[in-house]
Amino acid sequence: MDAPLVCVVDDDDAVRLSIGLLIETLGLPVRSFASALDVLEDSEVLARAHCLVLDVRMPGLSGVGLQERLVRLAHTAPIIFVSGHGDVPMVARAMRDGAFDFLQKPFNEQVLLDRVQEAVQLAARRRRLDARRADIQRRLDTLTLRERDVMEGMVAGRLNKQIAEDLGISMKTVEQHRARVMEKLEADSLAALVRVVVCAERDDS
Amino acid sequence: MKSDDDRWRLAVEASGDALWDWLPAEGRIFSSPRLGELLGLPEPTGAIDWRSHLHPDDRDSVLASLEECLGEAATGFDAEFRLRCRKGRHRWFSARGGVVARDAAGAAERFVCVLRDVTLAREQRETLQASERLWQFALEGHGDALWDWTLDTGMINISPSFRAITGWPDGAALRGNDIWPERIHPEDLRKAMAAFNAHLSGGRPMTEVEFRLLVSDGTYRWVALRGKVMERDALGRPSRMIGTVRDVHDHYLSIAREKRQERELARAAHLIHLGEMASVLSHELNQPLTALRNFSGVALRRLEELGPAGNRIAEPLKMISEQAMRAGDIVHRVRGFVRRGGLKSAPVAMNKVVQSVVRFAEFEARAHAVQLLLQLAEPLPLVNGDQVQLEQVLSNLVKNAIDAMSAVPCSRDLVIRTQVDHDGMVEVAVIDCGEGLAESVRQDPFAPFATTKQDGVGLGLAICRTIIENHGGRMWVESSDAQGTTFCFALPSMPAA
Repeated sequence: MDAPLVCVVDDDDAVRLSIGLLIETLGLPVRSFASALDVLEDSEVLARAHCLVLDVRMPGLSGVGLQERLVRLAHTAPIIFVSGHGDVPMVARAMRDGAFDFLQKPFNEQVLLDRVQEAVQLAARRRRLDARRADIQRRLDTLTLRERDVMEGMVAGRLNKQIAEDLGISMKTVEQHRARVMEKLEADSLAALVRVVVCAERDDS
Repeated sequence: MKSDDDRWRLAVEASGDALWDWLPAEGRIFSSPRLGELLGLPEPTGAIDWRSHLHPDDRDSVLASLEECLGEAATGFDAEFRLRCRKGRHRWFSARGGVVARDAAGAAERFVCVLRDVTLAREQRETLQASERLWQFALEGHGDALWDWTLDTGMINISPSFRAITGWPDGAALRGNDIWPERIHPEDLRKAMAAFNAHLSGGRPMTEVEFRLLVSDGTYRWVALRGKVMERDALGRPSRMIGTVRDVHDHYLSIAREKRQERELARAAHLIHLGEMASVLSHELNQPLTALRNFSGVALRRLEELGPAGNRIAEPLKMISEQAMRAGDIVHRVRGFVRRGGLKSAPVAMNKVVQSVVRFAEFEARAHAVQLLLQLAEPLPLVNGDQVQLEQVLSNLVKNAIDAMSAVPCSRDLVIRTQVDHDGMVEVAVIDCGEGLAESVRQDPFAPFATTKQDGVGLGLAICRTIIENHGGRMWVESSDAQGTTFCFALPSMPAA
């Protein structure tokens, strides 16, 4: 898994540097940018960013503009906006589009640190979940069509006998498939199997 | 001693008139030589019968009235007619006379008349009448009503259009000394009277004053009066004054309205500048305050690692940090305070904003030989906002565009376009064909204090963008190169009612 990183984007040098130093006191690595466009071009940062602290208004691409691009890229890192302006309508739009928080400059630095930590934890949870889901999906993909049919019967709570009737195969064959499913999905009980399948099917955390 | 006849004849001849003596029964005519001269005959002697010189159009009527005069005892002869003179030209003559002797039966024995060339007098009279008609026509056609005031009798004659304004009945005699005080609005009376007196006493070359005049429906209308003393009595005192009155009511009101609008706009512009200056300034101050607070926070956290040894430094550092926050609060409060006074919110038609700005900008555009072209989408959804602020933004962009083109040698077209963009927002574009933005500001033309103008402070575009963003919209430069620059802004449209 990529090491966590906080990404700070602000065109004001002093603000950018001070936010960066502040976040580093949490022991988190920080990468800072003066331009939002530069972030989009840095694939390493995109892969590792657990939180983005963005200025709302910047020349070129604005913070809100960057948020839009990230949403389109299905990038899920939480975004904390900081702004020197009221920018109320812009903030409303940013929050609607899923921003994690908004702080008006100058802000209480402890509040920013708390929110950054929460954001990073949220991102880490999301990433763990994503990884687990990807792992399960990989294992689900190893099932044969017949094993998949049997698994769906098991999850639906049907008995071996009923599954055999549904699929027009023998009880013994069902039992063999069943053992293969449990093995491939690394589940030691029916309850564990159901959890795995539900986790994979759920759209969101 | 000459006979009486001779004496009179001489008197008449001396006056320049011609004498014509006719004995109808005998058919004898005597005419004075002067008649021949008047007709321009080469040999102005002998008996001349002017009747054979009558203009064809006048002949019948003149001869008929002559016949009438001969027949009836009491009638004198008085006619004006044209007589053919030298080279076939006609001149106007007047003839006055009558039968001087009759026989016992009453038939005319002798007819005498005096003939006078009246061509010149007649021409002058006609010229005068024509010119009078022309003036009357010109003045009345222009909406001016005429008045003619005889001061010693007080009587005043007014033209039909004056009667139309005031509703005074036709024909009724009016006394000027009465109508002015009676008809002029009490608040304007002193002013009007002063204007009359200033002229009547010789202090001013004419009376020229605007006041409210009571009209037929009982309301007051603004009129502009001009008048001048045209005649004076033997002692030089004014005896007759003539002048015009023009209804300027609508004009007066529209000027008053324009003045009010101008004042309103200036006041709003002032407020906006104050508000948006505060807005821009607060942003500029908040940046360093943020850094100050953050750096203090970093220092405090590093001090903690030192343990109790750092406490002596941590205390004042915390105070610095708190003061940074306090300064931030003050900035926010000031800005909120100014903002509350300034912003209005109402449905605004952007095309109306464009037209209103164009009206104000036309003068400047003409002065720089810039042609304003409008491409307005109709219908356009309304936007929610402050019309005056939006006018301010657009007029700022238009002024910039006109400035940008002031150095362009060829045709200078400035296009203002409105349309609905793909998100349903109302988009306004100001497109110039100037030389494009200077390199120094192209990166971020909206940055405060960025300017290429010698006398500019570089807040115009920053303020514009702030206003647009306060309206929930956005503002950007679509393109800028040697072919020109396009500034755009888009505002959320209101849902259709």
